[in-house]
Amino acid sequence: MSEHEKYAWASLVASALIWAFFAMRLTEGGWVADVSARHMLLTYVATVILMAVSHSIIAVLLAARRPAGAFKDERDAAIEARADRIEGYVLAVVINVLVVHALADAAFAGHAMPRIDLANLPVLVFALLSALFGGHIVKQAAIIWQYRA
Amino acid sequence: MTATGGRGHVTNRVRKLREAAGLTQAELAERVGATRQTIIAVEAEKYAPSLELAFRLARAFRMPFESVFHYED
Repeated sequence: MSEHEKYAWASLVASALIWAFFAMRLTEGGWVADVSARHMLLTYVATVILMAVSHSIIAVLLAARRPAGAFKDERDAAIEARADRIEGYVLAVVINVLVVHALADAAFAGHAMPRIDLANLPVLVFALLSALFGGHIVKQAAIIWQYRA
Repeated sequence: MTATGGRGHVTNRVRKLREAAGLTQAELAERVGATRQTIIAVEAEKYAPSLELAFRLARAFRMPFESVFHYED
């Protein structure tokens, strides 16, 4: 397994665990809870710090075990570029779904579809950060898939 | 990262030429400035190398480009 694939696995697992922590802090019984702005801010800061620290630790651990002469070549760069594109597509799709949903929700009041109340601050924060996490996790999964394909 | 581009398919003789030259995948990788994983992927035709790497591979075998890589419709 290449160094980049190991990093992708570690990043995927760390990101999924940190998203679970983030989701636990903002949800209750499967729904976004009506938490205070202060609680959300603390959760956001903790999430950012956890992501930065965990990814720094992963990078340091992998660098310590890296064989001499290991480097990133054109295939690694091509795999990363393709994964970046896939991450961009995922983010574009999720943001568009949220926008269309918000517009449709406002245009057709009283509908029976499940509601994502983006006017509610906790829901907005949860949706946007989950989209970022989703994009990052999909990117790491795309890297792993390309190395194994 | 496949060697197929949709219409055609890039094939190569890298494995045969490397074995004939008595080189390991790691040695060839070092000669052409790629990783061993990339040489494995090129030999398995799962990755079509850039023109630059393809020329470096051909040069490593001291063979013309078209004797190493082929494009099949």
